[in-house]
Amino acid sequence: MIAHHVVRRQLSAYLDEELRPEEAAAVRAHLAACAPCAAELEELRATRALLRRLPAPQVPAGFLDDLRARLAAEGTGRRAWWPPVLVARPAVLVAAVVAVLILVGLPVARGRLERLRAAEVGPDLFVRQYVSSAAADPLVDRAFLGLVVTDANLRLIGEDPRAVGGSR
Amino acid sequence: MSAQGRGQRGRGTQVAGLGVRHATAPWALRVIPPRGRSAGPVTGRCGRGRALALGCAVAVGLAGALVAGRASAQPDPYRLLGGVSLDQFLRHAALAPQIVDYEGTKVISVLRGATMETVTVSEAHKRPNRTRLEFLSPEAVAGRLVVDDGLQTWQYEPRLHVVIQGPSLAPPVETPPRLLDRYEASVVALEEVVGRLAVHVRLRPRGTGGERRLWIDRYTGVVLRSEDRDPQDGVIATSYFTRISYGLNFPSAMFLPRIPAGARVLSPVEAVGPVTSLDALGRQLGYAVQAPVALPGGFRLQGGEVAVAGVLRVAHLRYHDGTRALALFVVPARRMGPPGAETPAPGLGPGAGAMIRGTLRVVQWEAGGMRYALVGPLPLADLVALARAVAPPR
Repeated sequence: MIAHHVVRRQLSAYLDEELRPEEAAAVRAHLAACAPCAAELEELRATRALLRRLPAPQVPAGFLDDLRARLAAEGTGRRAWWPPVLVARPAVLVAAVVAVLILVGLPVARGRLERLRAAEVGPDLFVRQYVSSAAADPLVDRAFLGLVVTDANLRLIGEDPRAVGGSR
Repeated sequence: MSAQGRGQRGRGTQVAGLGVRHATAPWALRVIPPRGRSAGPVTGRCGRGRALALGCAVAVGLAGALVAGRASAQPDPYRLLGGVSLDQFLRHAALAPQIVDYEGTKVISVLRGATMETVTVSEAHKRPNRTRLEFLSPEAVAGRLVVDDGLQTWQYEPRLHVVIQGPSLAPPVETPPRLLDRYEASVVALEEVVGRLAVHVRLRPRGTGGERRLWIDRYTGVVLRSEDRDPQDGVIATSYFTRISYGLNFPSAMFLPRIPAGARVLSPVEAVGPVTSLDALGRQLGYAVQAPVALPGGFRLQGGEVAVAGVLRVAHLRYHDGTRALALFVVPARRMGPPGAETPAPGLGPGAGAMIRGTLRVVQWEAGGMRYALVGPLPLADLVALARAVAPPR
């Protein structure tokens, strides 16, 4: 025997003849023995008949043309390409923008800094590396080379070779 | 820093009767005619009388004696050099560090940009290739110690308590090159420097400007004093001993590095290589290196390597003309910005610049998306001309 509350959920489908035959037979058997369910079925049937008698609404003139025009305009113009969650939650949107800026901007900024640093230390690197070739000159002054190369070494490690006083 | 070193001259005293400064090779024995009345006009006045003829004869005799006197005043290089040729004497000087120990105090004046800086250093040398430098003044460098054991240098900076490793400053222990192939050389005079008899030699590099004067100890071959001149800037570097002692047979321990307790040891530059072709260099760096194999003035490509300092990796190419070295550095311009303009480098386009460190000059410029730097002991104008031959700026 089918349960009462199950039949009440199936009444609308029974009325529209959407139940399988064995389900429809079970509901039909229950309706024959249950007056409240039979009454509810009749109310549903009356409501459906009432809705069918309502007039069909008329679409305003030019509605379709307006709709097509607006769809075309939205297709070529602004279009929300981000997920709705970003619009609904601005904090998520801000965090996403910051993350993108960090991911893209950090390498660019680092590259710029490295380029500037290279320009700063470049001449000292060149002098330091040249000195090993200059030492092959048999009459070159080694004390002079020593002065030049030690100054270059200090600048390469980020120190001012003419700074006075300790920086430890 | 001071400008006192600029234009220093005549630290030595000329030895009487041996030397007169000359503008050309002194052993050429050029006969320099005396000023005033020459032999021609004198003979032209001799027909007026016997007395006048006698006077003319005396005058001609005096003129001849004067000419002979001027000629004999020219220094004879063989006599000045003790019976050896200038070429032999320069070879002796080039070999001196390999056979002589010495220790002394030296004053160096170097042009840095637009100012002259004077530094005093205690220099000790042990044959064949070990050197110890202790910087004494000015205050900013005082205490700096450099020990070169012939393989590498160890620089100790007491103010930072760091030790920095670097390449050796010692020349290779081999037969020195024949300097007269590349230099036009002449003996100027015998002079006394720091109590030693010194041969004053003038060297002019062939094909380029500039001049180098050396006062070489006549007996040991050690350079007691030097002076470098540039056609544009005048005196750009001087160096002289204020005292020197020979034959001390220093203990080897003086030339061994001693790392002070707790000091950091740094090696700011690493050299990867050497490589024998530009293609191999390009493969190591990841970009094509364009450079000529020969440069004007007889400089030829000898080899190259990759120099690495932190994130900076550059191609380092070595050129040599037999006595002087040049270094060319190449790096993509996107990896290295334009230099701070210490000195302009005219003729090398925008973003070019130069740096002056005594006899060393650095020019940097950009061409074809690459940044180039050329380093060498040449006058700035000559270095710029070579730079244009390497890669003309657009």
